[in-house]
Amino acid sequence: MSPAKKTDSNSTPKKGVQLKFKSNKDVPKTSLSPKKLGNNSSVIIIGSAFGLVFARTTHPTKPGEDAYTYDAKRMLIENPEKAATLNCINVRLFPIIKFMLLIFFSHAFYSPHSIFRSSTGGKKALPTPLKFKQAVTTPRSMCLN
Amino acid sequence: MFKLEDERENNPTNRETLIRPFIRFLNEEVCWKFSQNFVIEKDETIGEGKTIGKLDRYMMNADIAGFLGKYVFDSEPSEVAGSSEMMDEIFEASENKLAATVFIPQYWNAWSSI
Repeated sequence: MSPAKKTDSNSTPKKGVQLKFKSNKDVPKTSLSPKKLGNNSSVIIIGSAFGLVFARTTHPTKPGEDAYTYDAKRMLIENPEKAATLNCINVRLFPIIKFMLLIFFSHAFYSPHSIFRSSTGGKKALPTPLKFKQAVTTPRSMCLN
Repeated sequence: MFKLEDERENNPTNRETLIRPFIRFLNEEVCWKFSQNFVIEKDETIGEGKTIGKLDRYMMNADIAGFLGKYVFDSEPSEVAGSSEMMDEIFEASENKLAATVFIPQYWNAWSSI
């Protein structure tokens, strides 16, 4: 009885046998493909007075630019009930030229050095204590600016 | 823009709790042309408690007046604009406090139709 022939796992493959590797071209690209890591759009939260909270987004690859959120904003504007469930009270959807015009006119009229600004009246007496509104549980619709 | 319920303190935990459903909405309910993933990166709120960033740091004058008229005060806009105590709560810049007597009554109802 002859001993079984040992196979050496470290031995080099026989010449003539070529290993084939899967190439990236073989993997079909679909919408279900895994998302690339590290390509996240950031959301930055800012709290302000009277319980107001702002959320702004930044583009994953372009520093200083907002993320693309137009579709989400449209959805919130067109579906106020959905916005209400998210406690969203307003959405900014500015075409850039309109935003620039608004900035210009705002400063033109409200700057203390503005030529358009009218003089303000005299100092008024303090009013009686202000009555705050009740909690708003169902914010109403959004505006489309 | 989001609003915390009145009984909730405007602190980092409550702010994140408020924004989480919005992030879920962005990631799971919106059909994007090109897929993207939103994550909360940071809270840029200036100060805490009473020194939290004032409205004029983030909003335009017309929006400040509209927000106050719709969500905050039942008083007359002239009363609010005339209260130096409230002006200090709302504005950081002295220029805005000066102009408030004009634009607060003017834009008080700016958000009422939206």
